[in-house]
Amino acid sequence: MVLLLIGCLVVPLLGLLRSSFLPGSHLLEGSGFTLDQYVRFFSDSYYTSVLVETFIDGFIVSLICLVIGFPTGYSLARLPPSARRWRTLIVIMPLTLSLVVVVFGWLIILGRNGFVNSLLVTLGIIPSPRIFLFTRPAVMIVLVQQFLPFMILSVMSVITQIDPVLEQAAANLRANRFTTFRRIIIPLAVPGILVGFNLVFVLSISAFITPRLIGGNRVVMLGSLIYERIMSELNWPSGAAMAFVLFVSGLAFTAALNAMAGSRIITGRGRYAL
Amino acid sequence: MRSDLIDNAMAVSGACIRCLVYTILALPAVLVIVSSFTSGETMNFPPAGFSLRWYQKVWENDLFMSALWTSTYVAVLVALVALVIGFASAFAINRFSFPGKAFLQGLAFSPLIVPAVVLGIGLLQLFAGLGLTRTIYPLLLGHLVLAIPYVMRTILASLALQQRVLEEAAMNLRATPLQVIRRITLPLILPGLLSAAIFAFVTSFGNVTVSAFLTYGGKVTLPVQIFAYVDTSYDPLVAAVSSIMILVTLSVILTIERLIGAERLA
Amino acid sequence: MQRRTFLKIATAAAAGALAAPCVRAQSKKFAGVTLRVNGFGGAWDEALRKSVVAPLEEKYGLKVQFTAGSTSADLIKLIANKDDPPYDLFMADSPYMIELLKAGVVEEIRESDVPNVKRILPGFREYGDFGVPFAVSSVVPVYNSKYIKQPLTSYSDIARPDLAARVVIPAPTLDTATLYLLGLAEENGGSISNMEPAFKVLAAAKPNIVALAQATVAEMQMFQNEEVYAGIFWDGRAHELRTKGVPIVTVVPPNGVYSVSAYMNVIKRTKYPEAAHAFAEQLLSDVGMLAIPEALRYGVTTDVKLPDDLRKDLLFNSPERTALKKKIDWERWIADRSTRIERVNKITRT
Repeated sequence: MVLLLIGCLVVPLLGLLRSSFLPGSHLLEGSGFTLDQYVRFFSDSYYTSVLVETFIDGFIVSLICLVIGFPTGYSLARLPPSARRWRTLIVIMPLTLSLVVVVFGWLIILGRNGFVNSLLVTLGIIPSPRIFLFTRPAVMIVLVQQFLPFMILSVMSVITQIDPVLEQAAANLRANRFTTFRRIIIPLAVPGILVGFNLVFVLSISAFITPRLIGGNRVVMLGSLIYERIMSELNWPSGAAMAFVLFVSGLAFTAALNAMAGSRIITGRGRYAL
Repeated sequence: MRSDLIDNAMAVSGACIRCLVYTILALPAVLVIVSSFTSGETMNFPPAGFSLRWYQKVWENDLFMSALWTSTYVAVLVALVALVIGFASAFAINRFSFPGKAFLQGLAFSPLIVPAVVLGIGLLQLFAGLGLTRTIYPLLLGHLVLAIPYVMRTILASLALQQRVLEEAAMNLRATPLQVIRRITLPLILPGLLSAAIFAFVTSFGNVTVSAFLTYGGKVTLPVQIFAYVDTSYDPLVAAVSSIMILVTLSVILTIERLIGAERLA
Repeated sequence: MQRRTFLKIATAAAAGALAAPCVRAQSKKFAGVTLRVNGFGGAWDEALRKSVVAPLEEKYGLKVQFTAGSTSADLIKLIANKDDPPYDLFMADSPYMIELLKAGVVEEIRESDVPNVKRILPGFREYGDFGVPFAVSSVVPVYNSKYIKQPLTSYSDIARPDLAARVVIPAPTLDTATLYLLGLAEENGGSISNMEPAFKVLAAAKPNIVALAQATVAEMQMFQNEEVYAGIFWDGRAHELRTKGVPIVTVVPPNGVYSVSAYMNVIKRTKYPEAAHAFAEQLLSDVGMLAIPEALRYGVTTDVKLPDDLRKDLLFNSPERTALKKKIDWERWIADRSTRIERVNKITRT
């Protein structure tokens, strides 16, 4: 694996790093060394604001995933096997869908003549259809849908390892469910929550198809800027520099999370329990 | 009294959230499948009438059928290789301590952060330099790199779960290390291995961006074919192909689920 | 279907596909030769297969393999593999021609090798002897006549106040579709070297703009679902929308129309230059030239006589209309790409 990852990941990454110091806007060619690409990125408030927004979006998406994914993951873990079966399949299914298809489905749901609008108009909540697509919330909803399974599965895998006896004990001590959650379940589930949070965050900040198709270009995220820079402008050095900024800041975030939770999360050592 | 109220409130809100979550997760797929059965010329919801004509068109379309075959073939290979590599390295990370271990772990998760287009072009450059772009290897290796983080995460979690007492007992009974792995460790973490295989399969099966750069010798994977198709033609054929993709992945999951039971997945 | 049966069938199908070609065409001129072309996908490739590839196979035993993909990914693939090119022929729109020439990966196509080159209309071949144009598509204003009662007449009309929140424009990253910006500039006293008037109109149109379409399909969906009523779109696609029952009107701006041509190129170091030339010859013949217009209603680039049913649907259907086609300084257009994208992004971002 080491060889595979070094060959197929580190080498391209080094190539990427090297290209990000090239001057000009060539495609796959060029020589020289300059910090221009980075200077240009950080000196233009447009790019830095997109970077910041991308991180804020990623954070909000991860937070939403946590809030709605945790109860789901918890209930999945506590369900009897027979009831769990189909629900697990529903959770896994979005992971298997090609993005092109998912986006088509969302156009039907959120479009001006789509599901949500017809429902709201029929119920009389809004007088005439509203525009939901091409807005930031729409992009975030779709990102949540795409990455929620990662959160649910991560939470589920730690909860299954927390003995239900602990909860019963707490209940016997007349703790209500909220207290049980706050004092027992959540602290024990922290490693799983962090893994899920981490995955969702990293996946959201590097997303590019969703912001492009659902955001209609008015919602800009760094991932789609990188994609455009390389695929439309064929400007490899600048795209490489932006990709590297994203890579390093994403790593920094992951590292910060890991530091918070100690080394035991990713190593999977120590059985997740505290 | 107060605690009852809170309990009830939590139970109700929990049920609402779960309901919402399952709807959100399933809805897009359901819509696509429903619209693929339209008898009309356009992709619309609700569909105009019911027919299987678009499925018949897919079946008659050599491009889509051969792309389906290429995708399936590559995804199965990727799943198998990813399992072997993922198990070996997860085992090493979980059971031994060695210099560079933290680096290895970080490395294994980093493909998630690299934008796919960058990975695609990087690999293209690398393999062009090696003169390998006419072969299946770039596609295989590219998908492998993408699948590794998921596979590692899943296998690491099951290894961490597993009691080492049994392995130690076997060692005490003078079993060789290989015997221990084959007879004890592997069977115990089988569910984890199989869900890792699912992740590897679906990662490879659904990828567009990296594949777009690494297609070889006129062979194209299904998602790339779909992407190119919708660029010039937009009809329910796409919904039908997508439904077939859902069907293939679902049948892979169901097969594995039959083997081990969904409750043990993930 | 069981997975195993599927695999069996798939294997059988693959084996069949491999075995079939060996049967016929033993003694023909290009028997055993397979040309590799990048595909645009879907109906486009299908049309070329029917009107260009099939006759060639009949006549010479020549086989052609299309590999569908996105032009930019394929271009990057081609440049990365210069020494051992993955294609013999390469299809590309006008702006990509600049990149192809810059990378030096394509061969000139002369009249001596491809006699039909002389049939290409004056002004349609933009890069000297490089590439042959075989289809032309125009970016024009369009509107849905069911909802918009006062017709649009120019590119600048997208800023009309009655179109609030109902307009779609192509994303700035699409080099070809963005030509409407040049229209905006030239209709308002600007030019390719002075795009400021265009950006001014764009800023004024901002309240109208619902979305910037990242892909043609996305824009199709928006028009079809009546998410938008007016905007800038391709002439061929507007026709497709009409066939699907959406009453979309194509506007022909009197000051000029901005169009892009699809070129077929012969790749340097191809093993079969002669076969590639035969392909180009067939592409520019009467049958080949009408392939794309028949399937997608994009315009022709040669003096081919248009059948009546096609004539009424095409934008460039008379010498007067053809004269409206503006000459575009593609090199300049591409050189300004980054600044243009940045500018438009900044204007339209919420």
